[in-house]
Amino acid sequence: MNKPVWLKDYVMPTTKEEVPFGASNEAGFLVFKNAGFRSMKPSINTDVCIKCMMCWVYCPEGCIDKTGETLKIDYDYCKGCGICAKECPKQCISMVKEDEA
Amino acid sequence: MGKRAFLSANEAAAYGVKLAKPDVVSAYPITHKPLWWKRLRISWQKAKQIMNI
Amino acid sequence: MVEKVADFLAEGEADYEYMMVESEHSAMAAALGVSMMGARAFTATSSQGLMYMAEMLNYTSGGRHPVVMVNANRALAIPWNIYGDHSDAMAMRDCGWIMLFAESGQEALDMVIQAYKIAEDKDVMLPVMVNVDGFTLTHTYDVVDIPEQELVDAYLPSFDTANKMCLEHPKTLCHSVGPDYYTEAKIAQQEAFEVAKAKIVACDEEFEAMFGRGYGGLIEEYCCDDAEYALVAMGGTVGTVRDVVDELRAAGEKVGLIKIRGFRPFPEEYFQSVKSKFKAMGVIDRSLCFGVGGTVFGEVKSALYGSEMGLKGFVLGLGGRDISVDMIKEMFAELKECPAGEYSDQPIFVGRRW
Repeated sequence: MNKPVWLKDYVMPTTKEEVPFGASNEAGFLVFKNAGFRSMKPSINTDVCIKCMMCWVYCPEGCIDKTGETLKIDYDYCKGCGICAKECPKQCISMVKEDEA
Repeated sequence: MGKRAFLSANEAAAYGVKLAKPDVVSAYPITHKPLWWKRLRISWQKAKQIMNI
Repeated sequence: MVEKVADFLAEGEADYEYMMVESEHSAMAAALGVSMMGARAFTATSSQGLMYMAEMLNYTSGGRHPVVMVNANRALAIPWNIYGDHSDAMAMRDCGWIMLFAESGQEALDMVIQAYKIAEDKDVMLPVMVNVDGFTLTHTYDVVDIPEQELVDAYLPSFDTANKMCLEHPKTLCHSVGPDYYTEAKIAQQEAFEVAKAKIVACDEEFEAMFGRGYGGLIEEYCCDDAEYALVAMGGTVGTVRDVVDELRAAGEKVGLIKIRGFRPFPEEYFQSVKSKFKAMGVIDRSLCFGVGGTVFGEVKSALYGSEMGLKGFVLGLGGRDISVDMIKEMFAELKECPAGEYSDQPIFVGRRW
């Protein structure tokens, strides 16, 4: 999937030279998990899912991975907005509380 | 050396810009008053049409 | 002056892209966008326009994009005034731009060329504001030598930077940052200003070697070697003070002129080096820092910390009021009366009606 990569072993700048020049630096990565503030998370019932891709189209963050056999959600990036659950024509996506499995 | 000309500092600076060869010049010149009046006249005419007067 | 720049394009003498935008804020935003793509940008403005683009000035300097802008120094409203003084540039002195002041049309032309060389230097990478006195310089005529394009091309290399957006090396430009790293970014900008002090002088010396005209970098002294009283001036006023110094010198008085050409970065080292040289020093200000006094006076006074000279801050020429030869003679006369160690805590308005 083509999306920003979370560099888990990123170290914040420790010297003058490491501070990004003009507050600009190489694109395409994140320095921390961009989903920590989520309170509800989507869960796809893959038995009912018909792979219509409406959730993939509507997701504002591009969190749904359609490259595999079933659709997968990237929970490191999903913000829990619930648009996918609202748009699914089969209503097979349910929003569950964050700490539930 | 060079060419001598009788210029205002505005024009001299403009020559400096030409010689420096920028790729893009962005500018907001002030709105010329006759143009401002013309636009006002056009909008008033349109308003009269709409109001049928 | 952008009209003349447009004329060159219309007549086929130049081939830049000309973007006419809806406001000065957009003009600076457009110039910034151009610079972010690694291309060379230019814009020009004056007083209220400079105020309108104030937020974008900080964007450009913080993002370290080398835009060059000519600012025709014009008084700020209210009262609405179309004549020249320095209040617009002074209002923006903290925005992180290098600020240079031109004494004449010739210097303005040369300064624009030098500005690109200073700005685009890899150790500087700061935008440059070329200040030209509104009306007294921008709208009066003088003989100017226009250099050859080939010579300018030899002096000024093309713009090349890594701080830009490109598809081969994608970048995120102009992040937001929290309290944890903002200070360090600002320290980096401050250090670039210290580097710029030497670069401004070096670029000027190189210009002098190639074109035969030099301006002294940050500071120019005129008849200061044995002077007892000196006036500090900036912009077009310098030319008038030069004439007065010549006249007074011919009459046997030991007077001198200090021209500040580079206002940001401020040439503090120079003022520290002359803090015991004169009997008294006066500063001509064409702007007023309300509640404090003359703007340049405040900076000169702080740069002269530890000095025991007499210091006087004169404010004149506001809103385009003429700075006459008599006023300058009056200022030199006042300096002669100034005892050592005294400084004016209130601005002295020269040429006031009442």
